[in-house]
Amino acid sequence: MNFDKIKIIYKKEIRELIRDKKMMFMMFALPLLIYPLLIILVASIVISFMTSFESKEYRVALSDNITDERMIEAIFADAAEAGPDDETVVLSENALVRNGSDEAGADADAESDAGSYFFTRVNISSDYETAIADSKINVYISYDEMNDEYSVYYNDSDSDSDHAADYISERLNGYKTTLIHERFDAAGIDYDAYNNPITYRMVDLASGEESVGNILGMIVPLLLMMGVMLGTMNAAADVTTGEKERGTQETLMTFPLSGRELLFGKFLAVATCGIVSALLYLISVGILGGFMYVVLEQAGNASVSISSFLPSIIVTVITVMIYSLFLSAVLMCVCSFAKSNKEASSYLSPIMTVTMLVSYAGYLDIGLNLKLSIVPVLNIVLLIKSVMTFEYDVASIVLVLLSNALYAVVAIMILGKMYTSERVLFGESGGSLLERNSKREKNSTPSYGDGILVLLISLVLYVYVGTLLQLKMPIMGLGAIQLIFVAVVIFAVWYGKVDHVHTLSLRKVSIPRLIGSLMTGMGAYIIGNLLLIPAQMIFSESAFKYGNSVTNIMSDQSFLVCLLVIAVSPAIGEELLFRGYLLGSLKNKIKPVWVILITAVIFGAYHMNIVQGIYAFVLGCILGIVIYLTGSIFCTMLMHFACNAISVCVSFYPDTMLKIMPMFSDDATGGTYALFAIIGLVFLAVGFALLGVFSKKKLSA
Amino acid sequence: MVIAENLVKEFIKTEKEGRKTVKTKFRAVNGISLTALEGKTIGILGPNGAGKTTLLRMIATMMEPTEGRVIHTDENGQPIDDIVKIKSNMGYMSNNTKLYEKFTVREMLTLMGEIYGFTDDYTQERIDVIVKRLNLSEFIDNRIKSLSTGQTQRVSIARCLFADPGLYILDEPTLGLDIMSAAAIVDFMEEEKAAGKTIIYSTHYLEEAERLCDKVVLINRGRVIAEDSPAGLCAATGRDTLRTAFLKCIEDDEMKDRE
Repeated sequence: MNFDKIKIIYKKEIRELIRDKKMMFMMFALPLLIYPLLIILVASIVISFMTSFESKEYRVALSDNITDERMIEAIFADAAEAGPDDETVVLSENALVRNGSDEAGADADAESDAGSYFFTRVNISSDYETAIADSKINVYISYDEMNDEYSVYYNDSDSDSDHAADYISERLNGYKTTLIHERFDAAGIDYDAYNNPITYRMVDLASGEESVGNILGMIVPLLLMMGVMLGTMNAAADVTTGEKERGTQETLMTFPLSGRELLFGKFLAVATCGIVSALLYLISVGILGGFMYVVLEQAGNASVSISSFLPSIIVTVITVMIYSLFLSAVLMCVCSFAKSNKEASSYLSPIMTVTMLVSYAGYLDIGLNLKLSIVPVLNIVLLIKSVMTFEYDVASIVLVLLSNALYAVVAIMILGKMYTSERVLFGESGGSLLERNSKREKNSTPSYGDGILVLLISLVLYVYVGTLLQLKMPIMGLGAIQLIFVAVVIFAVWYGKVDHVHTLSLRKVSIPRLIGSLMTGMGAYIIGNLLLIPAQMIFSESAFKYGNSVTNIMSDQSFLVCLLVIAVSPAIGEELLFRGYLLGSLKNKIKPVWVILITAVIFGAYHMNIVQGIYAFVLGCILGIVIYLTGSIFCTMLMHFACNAISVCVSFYPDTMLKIMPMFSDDATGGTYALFAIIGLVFLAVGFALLGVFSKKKLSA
Repeated sequence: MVIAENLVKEFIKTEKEGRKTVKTKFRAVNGISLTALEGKTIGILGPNGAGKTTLLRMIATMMEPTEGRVIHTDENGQPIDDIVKIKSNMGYMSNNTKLYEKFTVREMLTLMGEIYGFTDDYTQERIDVIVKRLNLSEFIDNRIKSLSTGQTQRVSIARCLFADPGLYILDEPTLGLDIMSAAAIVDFMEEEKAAGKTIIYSTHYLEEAERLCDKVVLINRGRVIAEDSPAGLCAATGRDTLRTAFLKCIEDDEMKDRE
């Protein structure tokens, strides 16, 4: 490897990046202009809010039976002249100014930065609820003579009403304190001796630096991680997929350079972008910090020595450099899978999201310990946080730096492997559901990416829409969820121009096979439930939950409705999703054994309950085998229906069913279990025989 | 001299057989051997998908053959092992060798000089020679993005011959070019041939190949089906132009395959 050559490539990449306007905007304009401007703008808005001294008027209505004049006076502090409106009587104004010395004044002082306020008494004609809702009044106070209790009505969602209620509460408290004082005085007792038996105050020993460091520990990691991410992300895509997109990849390969020289040159260029971008963010924070410092200094509040942050800053810069190397290698690895910049950015965005989420760890109360020092990304955040708050220990710092250096080396090695691979350099990648509809070929098979996407969309809808539906209509909601699956699958098939007959295994079946499916279904039910017995013993809690949820659903429903909702609809919806689209997207790509296992595991996990999940896994395996045997989803639908239908029967006619299947009664013996295991297996065997497993026919699907 | 010995390149191909998507191994190049003697021009001819590009990429050491090997020898007939050395004596051009659009022509050529490890003086000398030869002086300091197609084509040639290599590998260099640009390429090839350079190139333009090549290699479906001088090939097939000889060879090959 020749370092001069690496340097040449490095220079070439940097020059190309510098001439990319979008890149330069992201690198310089964002941290140096937009963010500081934005922060200053927000800060000045907040400050202007806080310093607005325009007094606020709140309108208060009292019920007629409130006759305590002193209380009314306490609320409306001092009466002022009448307002412009005839029906309003302005009774109060600026408490801050009037009551500077007494209790209420002290309260008002505390509130002074929120601006001053006064209450106006209003008589209302309508009822108080509508008056508050229409903002005619902010607060209504009523008095219950029976219990000698006042009620303050307000609307929490209306900020004026909410504030007014807070102030009312303060004034009522003030009035209460006054009354207590009076009663103590009347009884001749010293109030303070009773109410303040001890006095204490809180003294904050944190130095100015520590307080500032605490804030920096939250903000700095976040900004630096963002800086490194944004810098490396664009650069990584540009030097890999950008080169392909501009058609210069092959040109580059004709040059007398080894793959490694190329790679290192590019890699260092990306890392440089990350470091520069991060430093720009740091400078940006620095300028902002300096700006605030000057403001504070003028206000006479500054007691922070900037030089004490110097070691922290040095450690931070070193850390960011190493992190930048690591992230560059990782992002370049990811980008080398992509064919175009667009594709690259869709691969990068999840990484970015995760990294940015982890960057918020600075806000959490987690310190850096030896275990956490080896967690990538998180360790960087915590390290920067710890050095900013002066709470570092050298061992952790060394460990973080070493582990990140190690990760960087590993990532570079992987990158080296990938970057020289011809598949990556000349390769083409397959289509996906995100591809434009018009580009798709007709009658394609979905890729596994499509399968997973459809599954995820279905599950998200299942969780959100399904839960809502179930709240609205407990029993029909269950059926509606299955309709969602059907709808999603149909949409995916239509949008993806998928060969639906093949993918969803929509193949006609003969009568013997249908009977075989029913038999297999019953066999699967028996075997699955026998397997559940030990599982129920181990996970007793979740068995209980399962039992409960089933009985809850069943109660008050007719047998037919339950059969429809629990047996028929899942047989259609779940089968179309799991054995149809998902399995269809996997088959012919990986070995059948794996397809069956993967779909069964997902099917099990989908039930979100251990016991039910195990049962679903067993069932899923058998269903998977059946669809491979018959190539028809109607068989598995019928099987699924058979299983669920037996469950419904068991819930509705437990006594009859227990007679038929004594293994589920509490006093079942080992013999019964064995007998039913055999019966189950016989059912399965006969079922499979009818399905054609023993015939010489080639496996379809 | 370049010797290719029994080259095989296998790709994984995803194909639809009826309803199934089947991944099959597919040999783009299936056992091709050829020798390019010093100073000779060899034309690789064949229909689309015959394996021309893959073959040339392997000869240019940009792609690793699945089987077989490519030997480049120096002037003393000794094999060169170092790929970087092979590449520094090779000019490669194809439809996919685009230029760095954000660079000016001068920056691009200077970068080439740096990559090839030339001294600044020598780089400058080469730039002067090439600018004069290809008449680049009007736009030497313009960004490549702003150049016309014809001008870009000339810069592309400049890139290819910058290091004055002994071997040119050109993959359909005249494909899709207008008459002027194609003529510029053919001129450049003729000049280089006259200067004693070895040229291996693929093309669909048989008249062009007939004029330029000392030897043509016909390939179809990854195999060599005929290898001779253009005149020899015509004589062997009993046709009077390379075009008709080519068609005859392909036809014979398809016939043989059917039997």
